Amino acid sequence: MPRHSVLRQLLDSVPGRLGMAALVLLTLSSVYVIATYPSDFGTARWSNPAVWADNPRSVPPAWTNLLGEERRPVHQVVTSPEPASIEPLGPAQLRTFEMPFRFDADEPPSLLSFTLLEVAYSVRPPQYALVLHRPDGTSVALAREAVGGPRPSEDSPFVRYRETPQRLLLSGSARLSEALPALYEESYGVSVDQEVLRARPLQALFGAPSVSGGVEPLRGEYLLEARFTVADEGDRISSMRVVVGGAVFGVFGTDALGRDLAEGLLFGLPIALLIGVLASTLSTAVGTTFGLVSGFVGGRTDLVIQRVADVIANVPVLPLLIFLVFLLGSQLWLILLILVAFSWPGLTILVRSMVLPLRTSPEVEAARTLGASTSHIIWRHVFPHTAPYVFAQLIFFAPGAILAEAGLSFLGLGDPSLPTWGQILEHGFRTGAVFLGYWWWVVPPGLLIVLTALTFMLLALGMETVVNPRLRQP
Amino acid sequence: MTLLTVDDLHVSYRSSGGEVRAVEGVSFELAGGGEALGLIGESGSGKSSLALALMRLLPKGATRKGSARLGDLDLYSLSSERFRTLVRWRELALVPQSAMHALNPVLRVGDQVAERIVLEGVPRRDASRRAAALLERVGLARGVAARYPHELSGGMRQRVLIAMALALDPSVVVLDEPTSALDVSIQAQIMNLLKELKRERGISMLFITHDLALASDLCDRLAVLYAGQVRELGGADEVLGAPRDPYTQALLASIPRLHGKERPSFLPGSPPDPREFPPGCRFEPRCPVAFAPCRAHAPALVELGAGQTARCWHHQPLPEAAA
Amino acid sequence: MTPSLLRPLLVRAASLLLVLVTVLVLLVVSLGATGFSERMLGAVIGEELRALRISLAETITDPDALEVALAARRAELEAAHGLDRAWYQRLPGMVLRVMTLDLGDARTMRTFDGSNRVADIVLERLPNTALLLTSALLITAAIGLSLGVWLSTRVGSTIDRVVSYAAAISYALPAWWTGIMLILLLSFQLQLLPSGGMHSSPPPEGGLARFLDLALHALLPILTLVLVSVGPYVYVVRTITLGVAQEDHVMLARAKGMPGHVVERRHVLRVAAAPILTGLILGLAGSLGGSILVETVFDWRGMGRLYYEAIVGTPDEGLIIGLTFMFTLLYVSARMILEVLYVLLDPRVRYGDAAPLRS
Ligand SMILES: Nc1ncnc2c1ncn2[C@@H]1O[C@H](COP(=O)(O)OP(=O)(O)OP(=O)(O)O)[C@@H](O)[C@H]1O
Ligand SMILES: [Mg+2]
Repeated sequence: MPRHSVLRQLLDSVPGRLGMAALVLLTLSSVYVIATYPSDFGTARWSNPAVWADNPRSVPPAWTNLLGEERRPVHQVVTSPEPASIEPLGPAQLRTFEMPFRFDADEPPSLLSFTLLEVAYSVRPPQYALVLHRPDGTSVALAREAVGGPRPSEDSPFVRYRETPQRLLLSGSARLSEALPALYEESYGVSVDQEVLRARPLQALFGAPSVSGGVEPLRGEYLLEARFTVADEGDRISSMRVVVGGAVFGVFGTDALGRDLAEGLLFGLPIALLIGVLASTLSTAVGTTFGLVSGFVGGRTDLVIQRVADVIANVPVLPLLIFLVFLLGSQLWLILLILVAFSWPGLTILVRSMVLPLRTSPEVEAARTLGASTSHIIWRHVFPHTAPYVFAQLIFFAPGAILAEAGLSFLGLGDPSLPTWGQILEHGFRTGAVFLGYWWWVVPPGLLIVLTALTFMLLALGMETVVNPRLRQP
Repeated sequence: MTLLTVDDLHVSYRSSGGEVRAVEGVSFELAGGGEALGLIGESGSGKSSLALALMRLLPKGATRKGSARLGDLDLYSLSSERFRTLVRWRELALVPQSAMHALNPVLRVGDQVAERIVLEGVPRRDASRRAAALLERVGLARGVAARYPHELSGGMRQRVLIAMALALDPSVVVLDEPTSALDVSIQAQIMNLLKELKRERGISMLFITHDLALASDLCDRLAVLYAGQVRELGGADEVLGAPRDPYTQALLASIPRLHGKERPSFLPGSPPDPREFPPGCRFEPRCPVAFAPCRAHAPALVELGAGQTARCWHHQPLPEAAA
Repeated sequence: MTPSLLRPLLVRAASLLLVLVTVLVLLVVSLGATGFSERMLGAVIGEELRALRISLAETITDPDALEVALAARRAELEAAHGLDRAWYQRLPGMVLRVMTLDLGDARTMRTFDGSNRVADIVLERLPNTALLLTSALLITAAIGLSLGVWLSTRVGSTIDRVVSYAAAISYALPAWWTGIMLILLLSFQLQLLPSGGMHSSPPPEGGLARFLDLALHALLPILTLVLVSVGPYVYVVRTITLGVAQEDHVMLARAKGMPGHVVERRHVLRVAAAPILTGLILGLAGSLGGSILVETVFDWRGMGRLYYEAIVGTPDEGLIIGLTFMFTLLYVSARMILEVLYVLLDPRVRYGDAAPLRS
C-alpha cells in the first residue's frame, strides 16, 4: 500500500483527524519551547531555588479567583529598566524609577520584595530610598539603603550585584514596622493595634482603617518609587523589580518551592514528545529490520533472532527497567535505550510472519530472476507490504514509552537534569500535595501525559481500518 | 417435478465505490429427485452471492429482491425462525466455498456433523453414530470423526463438509465450488462421490463452479452466469454441444482439448466493474461478434427452443431504435 | 493429562524458564560489571566480622591478636564469597544467591516480626501483591469479556465508537496518576473510601470485620488497576470476537440452522477464547507494572510499594535485586497458569502445530 494512501485513510477517520490535529498542536508548542527555553533549563533554572525565591509557595492558579467568592491577590512582578525622571543635583543626579501596580484583592499580598540588578559606580556608592505611594495619596517610606562601598584593593569602576542581585524583603523589614504606626496616626488620626501592625504588616500596608475599628483592604493603584542619588552621571543602574507576592499565581500555580508550574509543564512537552518519538522510531526500526532479516534470510539467523525475540518479548519490563535504571543511573538517553531494548521483539515477530509468505511471492521471484540484490528486494519488494503495520506499530509504541518514562519518574528514577511531567508529579506526591489537596500540582501533569499519549492512541485508532480492512464500514 | 424455483433474483452490496450489483434478475428452476443444475461463471460473476441469497445468509449491508420457492415454501416470506427450523439443512444444505476455513477449528469434526442431528431431537450417542456413518459414506476412515479440522487435508475437509450437508437428507444441496481448492486427482474423487450421492440418494444439486468441464461431468442442465446475469440456460448437452451465446462459446473454446486440432483461445479482457456496468450488453466489450446494437441496448434472455435460452442480439429481433 | 497436552506445555514451560534464566543472568552480570555485587558481598562480610569482633573480644584481650584473628577470618570469608576472584567468576554463586533471595540484610526495612533479612521482607510482601494483581486481573477479564463480546455485535454503532475512544483513554491513563485522581476525588472530596494503607488503625476485631476492612482498602487500588487495563482489553475482545464472527465456519453454522445462541457460544466464543486469552497474557506484564505503581500510590504493603521505599531515601540494593527477581518469578508463574489454560482451549497447539503465542 503506497504511503500517501495510508495518510489519506488516516485523515479520513475521525480519530485520525483528531490525533493529527493534536499532534500538530503538540509539535508547534514543542518548537516554541525549544526555541525560547535555555538549553540548561533543568539545572540552571528549574532546580535553582534562587530563581524562584520571590514566588509564593504551593499556590493555585490565578484563574481560581473566578471560581470562588473571595478575591486573592495575584502575583505581580513589575520591572523598571529606565528611570522615569532625572534631576541634576550639582555634580550628582537624582534618578527616580517608578514601578506601578494594582491591588484589588480581599487579602493582602503574601510578600513585598525589591530586587536591584547590576549597579556600577566610579567614586561614591549610590544611595537609594524606596517609597510606596498608596491610592489614597498617602505614602510610606519602606527603605533607605546604599549600594555596597568599594573594597580596599578594588579599582573603579565598582560593579555590584552582577552575579547575585540585591534582594530586599520589604514585608519583613524593621523600617516598615516603624513606619506603619506613624502612617496610621498621621494620615488617619487613629492608632491601630500594635499587634496587627507587627504580626501582619502587609495587611496594614495595603489597607486603611475601617469603620468598625479594624483594617480593611485599600484597593487601587499603587506606585513603588525608587529614588537613587548617584554621585556621578556616568554611574549605571541597570534594572530593578518589585515583587508583590500573590496567593494565586499564573496559569498553573506554583509548587512547594515556588516554581512556576506552567514553565515546568511546558518544558515537559518536548521531552515527552522526544521520548515517544525517539523510543518508537528506534524500536520500530530495530524491530522491522530484525523481522525482515529474520523472515527473509531464514536459517540460523532466523533461529537466533526468533529465540532472542521470544525471550525478550516475555520479560516483565517495568521491574527490569527499574532495576537497570537504578543500577546504571537515571539518564534520559539510558532510559530510552533500555526501553528500546525491551520493546522491539513484538514487531520483529509480526514482521517476520508477514515476510515468510512474501519470500516466495511472484513479485519477489521476479525481482530475484532479474538479479536484484537481497537488500534491494527486501527494501523495495518486501518492506512495502509490511509498511502499514509497521507504521501502525510506530504510532502505537509512542504512548507506551511516554507512560513508561512517566512511571519511572514517579518512582524517583527520572533524569534529574530534565524535569518531566512524571517528575513534577513525583515531587508533588512525595511532598504530600495529594493529601494537602494541591490539585493544581498533580492534576495538570497527569492530564498532559494522558493527552500526549492519547494523541498517539487516536492516530493508532485511525490506522485501524488501514491495518484491519475487515473493520471498514460498508 | 419442479422443486426449487428462483425468480428474478437481485443481490446488491453497498461498498465504498458505490452499489455493487452482484446478481441481477436471475431465474431458474431445479427439479427434485436428483437433478443437478450447474451454475457456471468467472470469479466475481455473483455465484456465491446467489448461493448465500438462497440460504438467506447475505451479510448485513446486502439487499435482495425477487422470490424463491422450495416445494410449497416461499423462502423469503418465512419468518427467520421458521426458515431456520424448516428450511436450513432439512431442505436446503450448503457446501461452502472455502473448505479450509469452513470448519470450526476447536471442535472435533464428528461433533460438527452431529450437532445438527442432535438439534432434531436425536440422542447425542445416536447422532454421533450417524455422523460417523456419514463420514464413512463419503470415504473417510473411522478415526476421522474424533479429529480436529487442522489435522485433515483439504480433500478430507471437503469430504467432511459434504458429509455434513447430508446430515438431514436434504432435498437440495448447494455446492459452492466444492473442488476448486483441490488438486486434480482429489477433484476427480470428489466428483465421483457427488455423482454417486446424486444417484443413490436422489438429492438435487445446485453445483456452482467456474469450470465448464467439471459441470458437464455432473450436471443435467447448465446456467452460464456473467456479470450477475444468466447468459445461457439449457440442457447440458445442448449448451455444450451447440452453445448459442458468444460468451458460452468463448468459454468452451478456452478449454484445452487433448485430441482437438484447435489450440485453446483465451478470452481477452476482464469482466466489467459491477459498480458500473456498460449500458448495453454486458459482454459487449469483450465480445468477438459484437455489433452496433450491443453497445447501447441490453439484450433479454429469450427462449430458443428445447428449453434453451440465451441473451444475445444475434438471436432475437433487434430493438426498434436500432433496427 | 494426555501426552498431546503435555508436549506443548513443556515447550512453554521451557521457554518461560529460559526467560527466568535470562533475567537472572542479566541481573547478576549487571551487578557484577557495575561493582554492585562486590559492595554487597563486602557488606555481608563486614556484618559478619563485626559480630565476630564482639564475640572474640571476650576471649582475646590482646588488641593486636584480635586484629590478626579478624584479618584471617576476613581473608577466609572473602575467599568463601569469591571476592578474591574477578566478578565473572563469581556469577554462578551470585545466581544462586539471587534465586534463594540470599541477599543479606535490608538497610532500614523490617518485617512485621522485626526480621531485616531481604528474603523475609520480600516474601512477607508477596501475598499482598498477588492478592491485588489477581483480583484486578479477574475483574478485568470478566468485564472485558462480557462487554467486548456484547460490543462485537454492535460494531460501528455509537456505543462502539464511544467505547473505542474510552479504550484509547484507558490505555493512555498512567495507573499511578489515575490512583491519585481517585484519591483526590473519592477519599478527599467525597470522603467515601480510605486513601491508602491496607487496614484501618486500629484494625477491627474479628475475622469477617478484618476481611471487610481489607476489602475496603483494596477497593481503590483494584479499581485503579481495572480502569487502566479494562479499556484496551474490551477493545481486544471486541475485535477478536468480531473477527471470528466473520469467519466462514460461523456462516456455515448459521447455514446449518443452528440457533443463534449456539452459534454465538460454540462457534464464536469457543473459537475466540484462545486468542482472547492471548490478549490477557499480553496484558499481564502491563498489569504487573501497573500494580507496582498503584501500590506505591495507595501505600499498599506489597512488593511494588517496597520497590519505591527501597529507591527513595537511601537506596537499598539488596531489596531491589530481590524484588526484581521475585517480580519476574511472579510473572512467569502467572504466565504458566494462563499458558496451561491456553493449551486446554486451543486444540491447534496440542499437536505441535505452530500456533504462535502471539497473534
Ligand atoms: N460482502 C460484500 N460486500 C461488497 N461486495 C461484495 C461482497 N461480497 C461479494 N461482493 C461483490 O459481489 C460480486 C460477486 O461476488 P461473489 O462472491 O458472489 O462472486 P463469485 O462468483 O462467487 O466469485 P468467486 O468465483 O471468486 O467465488 C463481486 O464483485 C464481489 O466483489
Ligand atoms: Mg464464490
